[in-house]
Amino acid sequence: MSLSFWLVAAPLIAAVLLLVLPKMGGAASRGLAIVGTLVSLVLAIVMWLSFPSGSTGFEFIGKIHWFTLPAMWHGTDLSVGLSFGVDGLSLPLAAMTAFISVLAMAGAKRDIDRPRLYYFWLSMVTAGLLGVFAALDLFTFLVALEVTLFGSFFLIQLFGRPGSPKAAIKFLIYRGFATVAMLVALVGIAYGLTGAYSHSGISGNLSFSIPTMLNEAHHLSSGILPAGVAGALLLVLLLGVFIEEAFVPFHTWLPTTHEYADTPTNMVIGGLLTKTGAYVLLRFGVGMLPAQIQHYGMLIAVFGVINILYGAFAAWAQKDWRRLIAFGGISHMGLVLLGIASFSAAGLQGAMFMIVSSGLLTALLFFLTGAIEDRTNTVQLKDLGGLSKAMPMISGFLLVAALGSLGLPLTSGFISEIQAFIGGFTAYPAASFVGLGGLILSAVYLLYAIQKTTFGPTAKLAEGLSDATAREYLPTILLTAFVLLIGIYPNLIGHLFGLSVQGLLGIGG
Amino acid sequence: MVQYAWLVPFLPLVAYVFLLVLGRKAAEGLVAGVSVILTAVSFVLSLFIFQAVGNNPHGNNTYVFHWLTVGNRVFDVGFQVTHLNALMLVVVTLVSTLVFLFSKGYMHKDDRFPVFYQYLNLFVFSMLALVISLNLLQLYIFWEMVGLCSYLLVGFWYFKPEAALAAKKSFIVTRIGDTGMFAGIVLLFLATGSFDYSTIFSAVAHGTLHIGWLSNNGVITLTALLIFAGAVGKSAQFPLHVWLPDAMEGPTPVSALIHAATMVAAGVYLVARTFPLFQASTGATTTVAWIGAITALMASLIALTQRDIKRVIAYSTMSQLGYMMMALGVGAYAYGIFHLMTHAFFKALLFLAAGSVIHAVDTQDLFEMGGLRKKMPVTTYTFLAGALALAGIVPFAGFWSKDDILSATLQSGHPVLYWFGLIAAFCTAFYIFRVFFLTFTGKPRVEEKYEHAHEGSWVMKLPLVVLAVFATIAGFFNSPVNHYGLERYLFADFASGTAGVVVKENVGLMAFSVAVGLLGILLAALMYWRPAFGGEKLSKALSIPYIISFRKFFFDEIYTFVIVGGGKVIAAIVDFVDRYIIDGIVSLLSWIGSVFGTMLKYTQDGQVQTYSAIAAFGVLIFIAIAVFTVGGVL
Repeated sequence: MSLSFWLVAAPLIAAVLLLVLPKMGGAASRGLAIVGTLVSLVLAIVMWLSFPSGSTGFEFIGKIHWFTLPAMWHGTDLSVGLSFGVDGLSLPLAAMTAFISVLAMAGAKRDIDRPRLYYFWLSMVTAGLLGVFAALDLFTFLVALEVTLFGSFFLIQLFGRPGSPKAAIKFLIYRGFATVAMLVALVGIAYGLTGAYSHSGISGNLSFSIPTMLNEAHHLSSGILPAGVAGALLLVLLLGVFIEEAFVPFHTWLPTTHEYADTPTNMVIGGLLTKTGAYVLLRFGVGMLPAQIQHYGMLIAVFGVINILYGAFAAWAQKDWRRLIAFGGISHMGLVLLGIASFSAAGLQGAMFMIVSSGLLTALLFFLTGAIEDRTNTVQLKDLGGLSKAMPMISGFLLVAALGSLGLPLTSGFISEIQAFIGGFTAYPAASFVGLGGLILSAVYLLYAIQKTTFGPTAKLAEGLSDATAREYLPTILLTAFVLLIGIYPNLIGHLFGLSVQGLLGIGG
Repeated sequence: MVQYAWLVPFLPLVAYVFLLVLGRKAAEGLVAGVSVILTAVSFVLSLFIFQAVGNNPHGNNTYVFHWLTVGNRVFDVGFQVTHLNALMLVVVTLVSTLVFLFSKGYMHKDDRFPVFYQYLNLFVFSMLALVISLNLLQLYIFWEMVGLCSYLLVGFWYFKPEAALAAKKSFIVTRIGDTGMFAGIVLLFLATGSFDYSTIFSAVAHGTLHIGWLSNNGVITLTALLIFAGAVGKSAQFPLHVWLPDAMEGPTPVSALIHAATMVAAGVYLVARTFPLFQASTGATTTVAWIGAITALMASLIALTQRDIKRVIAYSTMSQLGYMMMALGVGAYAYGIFHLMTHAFFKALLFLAAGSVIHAVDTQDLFEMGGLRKKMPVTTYTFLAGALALAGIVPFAGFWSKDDILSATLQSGHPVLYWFGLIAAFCTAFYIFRVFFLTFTGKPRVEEKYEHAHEGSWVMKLPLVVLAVFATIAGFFNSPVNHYGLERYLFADFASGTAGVVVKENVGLMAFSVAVGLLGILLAALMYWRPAFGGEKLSKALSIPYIISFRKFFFDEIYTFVIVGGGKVIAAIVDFVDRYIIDGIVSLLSWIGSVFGTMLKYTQDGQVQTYSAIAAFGVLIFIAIAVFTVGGVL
């Protein structure tokens, strides 16, 4: 089997072993889960290092045939199975998934109830996320998406704070709708591109293969797929993406979820699961319906700016660190929309950078505020203050994370923003000018929260508390290192994203 | 030599990393020693580079490295040493070295002494890297880095709530300007495909800047104004000046280095660095000149009445930066830079001397000082040198540069701006000597504070003396004595060999501005030294102007109410909409869903009658729809 198959399979195998092996204690469960995801991380790094230079397509492809639906379409059979592979877009996202998941597991508190179940679901979600990014056909993609949905649901419900079941239901219903909308749109796109209007003839072979669909989109001269149909498909897809990605006004599940989920789950949901929507938009929207993305560019850009500002203002009003981080993430992902809407190399690459940057920073912020909560039993801004005295290291890293989030140069946030705005100003200058407000507001809400948390006279509840432990240093330092590394040497991920951008803009661009 | 220019910022970076490794418990002597020595080496290197650039003005001064590919464009990084940059390197490293030495005494026994030096080294690195940046993108990177260091150092005493607030305020207010600058840089990139100064200037010269939605002239004016927004924030110009006085919450060496000599001057440097862009737009230069003049005058009026010694000097800094902006706005390129240099020396001196006073009496209130001349002679006379330089009294440094600016303003046909500058000059002389007389002459106002007062150790005195020497003689660097050497040096950056306005010597104008300065000193002396009439009486007689000045034209109150308040209201509205409207609709939908679920539960009661009734009802609805549809009603 190919490397990308094992990339997805490794955490899955760990999950299965967690279920079947007897007498697994907390440490053993965590160890097994970490090993599974660590294998994925190593595989991702191997693929990264050996990724063929200049390749704009999928590499490390692997397929498993499962069953055939006979005579599904004009007498041809529809093959159903699992297939995986990575390209310049999905490989960095897959690597980030394994990276953040490993750190979430390694940094998790040691006294979790039912650790076997906990690490089982955490491994399942990781496998699901890797499957989403590495899927090469729609069937695989949708199955993987469902795994992430149910896995996260159980993590929130079973391991969250008091009151989490309600939040979990909200999460499930929202993202369930998102899945349905995306399912409809994606099957429609497959039908449109490969079945009904294939370039090879009116009665093409219906295919759920993503490379085939991309290839058809590539050859499709505009006009074969009726614009109305394609436009409707994109709007349905956008609906799914908006819910999936927690874009305003379909976002309210996200702050609620983050408020109630525990720290590792928040890292995975905030850092990874809320990036799948953006991935879908890039892969299927930009990749397969480029003309429609351009056609609806203004709409997407305006929604992007609304998200930037709405998220930032809402974050300013929050009194709870977790809700603040949630809205900050929404604001950041608004910039992804603006970059995509611009349909330019800089805008698309900026959007991809922002996905990674927001992923790393969100995970880091959740981890650090989680560490603060472990000590003070609160993440309410009004109760905190003066933490710098008792925990200078945690406070210092929290500041770095905030600075990265507000886009300080030499962090990943900045390099994402400048590219996205270069794209934005090319195509939608007015919207981009308004969107700049996000740069100011992010400084306002983040530094306000920092001022309330680490500056000032030491709060009573923070007296005599200890600073970070070895368990906490590992995720903190590694996440911070990558935030800085990407900010200082952006070509690290830029060379892969650049290939993907070339591939995307090769189509109708 | 020039190829080694990267070493100048690199050495403070080495010091930073070294101190980071040493940790928070390192010995004070080691920490300060390493910092001073490495920065001093940077200073010596800078001197050699300064000379090398001057000797070979057309040599290669640019070194480029590839950073990131974006589509078919490339972001480069690297360094470039123009004449302007070389001068900045010398000024920054010299002041930094002296401040590093001074801080050894000033920060003695602070819990976080090593951290203070870490931040300062990081600042010096960033500032020097900013100066030799290859292009606007790189400049912006270090521009934000110096802003970060400023934030960290203003908030250095993090446990003080005022310091925490001031740090946040300084970052956010400058961020507003920086966002404009960010947009300006992005637009220049879109218009020229590059961040490089040279590419942009050549596009300006050929008139080929255009973006799809904006013409060449539109791009020039818009981007110049946007970049100027960044300079306005950084250099604390009206209307983004409100952060600088609050930034005085930081330790005084920080105020001397960052908030007087170097970082706040970066805004002036930026306008100078992009001078060809500004010159291509009358709208932009006029804006720069007026903003500068307004700031110069307004800040000097505020400084008249402040009671806090550091705040007076902070408003003075704003005012002097206003002069520099005004100079660049009227085209007096060389004199703006010249004043930047002299100001760096005499203002760092004034701040360090003030620091020496604060260190001795442990107060910043002018009305708790007095008579310190006897206890602190070195501080007194070095401060006097700085004050004379600031007041523009011949032959001190500030005289030459300020007089050049005023003459250039008048000679380039801006009489109104000239009078702005002249009134500000009068106020300047008055307020700085008000500080001098209140602090050093007369009788002590608070006995116990006076009792404890003493001069600092040599590490604090030596920097004062060195800076006092520069504050006295630096004006001669661009004077008839050396045939206006600095001017000629700076002009070598331009292909035409000159830039903007060149002043014609006018002894009458010089005498006039010195007279204005002396008049200000005389008035201060009559009020605070040999009181002919009391300041109290005068301030009561002029109560309304006094309050306006003392309350700083009410900018803080207005901004807090309108901008911060407005933003908070919007945030609260968004939060309300989010919780009660958007989420309310969601809750409503889920409630409806559960109600339907409950109702449907009752339909499943197993009674055939119920099922048939429902079926019949459904059929009726279908029939009704069919009738209406066919009948054309729907």
